[in-house]
Amino acid sequence: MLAFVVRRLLTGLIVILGVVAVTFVVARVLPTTPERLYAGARATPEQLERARKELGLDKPLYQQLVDYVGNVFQGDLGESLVTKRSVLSDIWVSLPATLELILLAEIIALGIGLPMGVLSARYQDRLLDHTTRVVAVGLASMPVFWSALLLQYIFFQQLRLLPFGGVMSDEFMVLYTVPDVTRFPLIDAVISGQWVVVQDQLLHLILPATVLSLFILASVMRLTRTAMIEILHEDYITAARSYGHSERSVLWKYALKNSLGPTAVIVAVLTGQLITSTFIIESIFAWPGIGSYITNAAASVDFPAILGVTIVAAIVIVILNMVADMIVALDPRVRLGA
Amino acid sequence: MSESTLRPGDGGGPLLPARTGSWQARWNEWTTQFRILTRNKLNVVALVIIGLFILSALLAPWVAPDKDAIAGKSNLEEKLEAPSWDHLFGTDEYGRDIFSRVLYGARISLWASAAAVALAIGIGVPLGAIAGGFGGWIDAVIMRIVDIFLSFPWFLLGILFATVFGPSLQNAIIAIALSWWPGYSRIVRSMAISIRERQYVKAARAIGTNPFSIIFRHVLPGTLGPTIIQASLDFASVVLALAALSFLGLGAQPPTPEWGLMINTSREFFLNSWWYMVFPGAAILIMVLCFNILGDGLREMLDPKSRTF
Repeated sequence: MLAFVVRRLLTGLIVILGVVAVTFVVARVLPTTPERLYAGARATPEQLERARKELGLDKPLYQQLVDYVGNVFQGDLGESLVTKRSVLSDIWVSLPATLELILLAEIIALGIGLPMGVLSARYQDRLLDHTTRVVAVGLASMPVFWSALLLQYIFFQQLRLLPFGGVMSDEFMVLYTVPDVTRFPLIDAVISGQWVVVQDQLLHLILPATVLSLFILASVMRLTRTAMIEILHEDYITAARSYGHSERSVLWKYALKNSLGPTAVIVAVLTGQLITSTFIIESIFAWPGIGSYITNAAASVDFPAILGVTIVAAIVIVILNMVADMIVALDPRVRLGA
Repeated sequence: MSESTLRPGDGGGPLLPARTGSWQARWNEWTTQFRILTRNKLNVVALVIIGLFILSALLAPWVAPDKDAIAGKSNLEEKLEAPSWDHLFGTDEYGRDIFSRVLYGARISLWASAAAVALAIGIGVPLGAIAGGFGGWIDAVIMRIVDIFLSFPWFLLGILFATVFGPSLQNAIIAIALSWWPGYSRIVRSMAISIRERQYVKAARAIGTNPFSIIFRHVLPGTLGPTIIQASLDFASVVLALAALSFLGLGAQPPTPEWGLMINTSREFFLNSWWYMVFPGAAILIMVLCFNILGDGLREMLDPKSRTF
């Protein structure tokens, strides 16, 4: 097990190095004038000259690569052209809001997806099963940006039930000050004890979190169903039934427990994929996380910010995939091959 | 084809390639399997709708009621009109017929997604075959490259490409292809590893056949089935990804009637003109749904155990 973990960490490190090297090629080798990207479209000749020097474009390419990788590993992702702050601190500031959204979406997806998957397996090929399967494929085929706009149209414009976007209403922003303790908007509001603010924020969370959860809900449902169908045919389930355990306890206690492994793996992998949907949804709902940061950066051609977020996101995904592999390895039935 | 020639997991292909031209044998097999596929009514519906999309892509210039809808023209007297018999899907802020633009959009989505998937297959399949066919350090190096590209979210690669090389549909296609090829390498590699151990491949190696020739004549034909299934499923997600990039202004540029781009330009108006946003999105949804159903149907046909929905 230890050997496996060490080997997995090493390949993870190699992949991270490769990821950084690829961004180096895209940022420095392929463009004809990389300094223009770093200095911005309206840079003066002096600024361009300074960017050239800072990037070390006069040095040989391998030296540039070494410096570049060194900077990234020291956490130096450059300075945003728009905010004029270091990209890493910008990411650090907007990360909690994004995490809050992702966590809530995963709670919703697991809360609905797991039971639906279990029931779908229990009543395999019956009406409930067919319905959940159709819903799952439908959800997986829906463009997130479109479902976001649809829900905005229905719940904001037509029903006037939910806010259009943002973390909290403008009037609350003026009336209440929420201290920056954890920088998770909802947790900070809870800490400050201003329950009207908490309520307002929850209302703002419903739409973006729901849209985001739809995307993984389908996968959670499908995978739980597949895993459960397989498990329900196993001998130990028949044994549990023959001992006279109620069908409910067989299903929710004995069978579900063994299907959680595949689900945990898929949640780790999906979180990686969720990053993309989160970014799109944040930009639609004006949610002040990394997604809004990078879509603004894309609109204002803030190259250091785009590059920085790409590197950080890729590293996060490498780590999540590593975690997924380790969860698989926890299962004693899995043989750890090369 | 008798049951005994089938092995689980070899994509339904025969254990031994037919003596005269394995590609011909495969073609016969595929026509048989197409008949199996169409036994499920859902698959037939999906195929028919995909056919309609292809038709509307091919015939858009002749069937679209508003011939100028794809141009940057404006007819402000008819702007943002609700759906009616004159304009089935209503009109946009320039008075262009949205129905015509959605028809033309099928052309762009199908073409661009096909290009991206073809490019991904073109990169992924040879690399996977080489990795699996040769093994050893070549395999290790190629698979680390696969891992590296799997780590980039396509969305960020799309933004990066749009920033460095300029936002265009072509750059979006390249960014998507670069994010999707690793899947093919993984599938083809694992198939190639199992095929490599078959008797006929061992025999070919024993008589000293060039390793590349072994890969292309004996290994690649066996990986065709899984590659096609993957392509069909990927087509669905690539349509979504390209639409999302265009939605964010990183893909197709105005006045192209690209579905994602249309939804993007509708954002200013959709609260009062729902049709502007609903119809292009419904077109994406239906196309993606059909490709997902078709891909699942293909997978189920070739490997009934894999049924997932």
